[in-house]
Amino acid sequence: MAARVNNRTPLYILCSPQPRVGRTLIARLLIDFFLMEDRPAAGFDFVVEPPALIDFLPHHTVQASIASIEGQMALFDGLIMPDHTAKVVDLAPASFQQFFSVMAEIGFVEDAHQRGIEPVALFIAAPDPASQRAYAELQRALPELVLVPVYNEAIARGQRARQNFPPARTVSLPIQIPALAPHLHRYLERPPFSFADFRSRPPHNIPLDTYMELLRWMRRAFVEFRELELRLLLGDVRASLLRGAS
Amino acid sequence: MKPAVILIGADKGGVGKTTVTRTLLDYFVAHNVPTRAFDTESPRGTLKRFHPDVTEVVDVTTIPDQMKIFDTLAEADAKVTLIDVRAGLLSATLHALRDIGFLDIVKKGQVTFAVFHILGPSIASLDEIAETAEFVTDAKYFLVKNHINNTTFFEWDPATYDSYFHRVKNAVEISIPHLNEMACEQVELASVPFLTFVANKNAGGDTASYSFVLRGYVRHWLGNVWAEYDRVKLTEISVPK
Repeated sequence: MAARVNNRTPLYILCSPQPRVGRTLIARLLIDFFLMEDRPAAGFDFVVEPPALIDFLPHHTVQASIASIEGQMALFDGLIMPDHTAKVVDLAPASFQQFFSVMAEIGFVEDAHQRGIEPVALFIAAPDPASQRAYAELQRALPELVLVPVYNEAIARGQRARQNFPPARTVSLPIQIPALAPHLHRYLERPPFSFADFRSRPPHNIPLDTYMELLRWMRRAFVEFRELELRLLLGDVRASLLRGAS
Repeated sequence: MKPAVILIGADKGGVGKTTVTRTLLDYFVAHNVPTRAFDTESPRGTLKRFHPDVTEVVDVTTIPDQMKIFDTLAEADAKVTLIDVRAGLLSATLHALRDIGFLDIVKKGQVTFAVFHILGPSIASLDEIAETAEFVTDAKYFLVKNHINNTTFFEWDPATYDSYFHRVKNAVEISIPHLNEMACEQVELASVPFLTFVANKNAGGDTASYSFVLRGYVRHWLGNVWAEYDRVKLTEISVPK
């Protein structure tokens, strides 16, 4: 709803310099969050190993690469389109450095702002020093980029995330993805899989309480996404009021 | 305001003279300095393809065309004149400038004269510096290492280079960084100034559909080239201190 009001084209980059931190699961959730709100969404997948985002949501995802100039053109020329399609990038750790380096070199963030696109990097706050360093470097290298720490409870329980991944501004307050109980994983991990389909057509072999538990988990994650969108919207409103006052 | 003449040349072909001239034209446009250009690749004129409105194709070895360039310096609207010298004609052009007395008026301070000497990767380029030295004693002399095509100046021993470099008093080195090959090709195909490409316009001024990524690379590269021109205070050529 928020994006409809502010008319921005959402662009979320799920990223971490580390593998196996829940990046793809959150990317899947995010794409389905938009689809369940009847908002067009597209995934960009740096496939590393199956099952990847493109395996789970093949009709809504394209393969991305940044190694060649042709790959960079296909990716960034697609991401910069102000077509009101929410874009979700599942950025592989191997491409992390190059992606943000190209983004800085071609002036992506500034140009995106001019086209009504707010790029948001959703950085998985993993409890390792390399992630903390990468987070701080990204904040320095791309100060205009909204950098939001993602506290994935499945990997970061008990860590001092707020201290290690301090948000740079109000709009970048962290989002918290609840941990998924281990017995629920098997219902989500066989591609293709869409949370939207799962909600509207529950599989016949799932016990009702398990199904409800999964829906509750989805709902908690979606509340986090919705609050992030509201913060972005409020950021826009605040900026617009400040422009009007000056 | 004193007119300025900038000669862009090399005695070897394919070292990027016209590319450097194009960056200079864009630089002066961006700084609101009225500039005209002469393309000595008569009769073809590569520079004219990119900057048709301000470029004239001339044969700098003929007297009528020399008159067209140098007899109009004082009255031309453009205060900066760029001359993109055809490959192999740098020495000949400098001789001609001396013969027509142009270097004398430079010496008297009536005209600002600058030479952008584009160096190739071979040792022959160093010999060109020695040949050029005697003509540029009163000029601003820029030795340009053009890396746009990823040139590595592999044949050069730094000590040898320094010995040539120091033969020319006040010689200043400029380094043109590498530009992604595909970005370079696309600007060539578009046949527009770099600035126009960055602004996503075609030669007619209409919105084009160039790749955002390639435009980003060109913008970044052009920014770095201009940072070099800023470093050597190029605008002071056209604006008196």
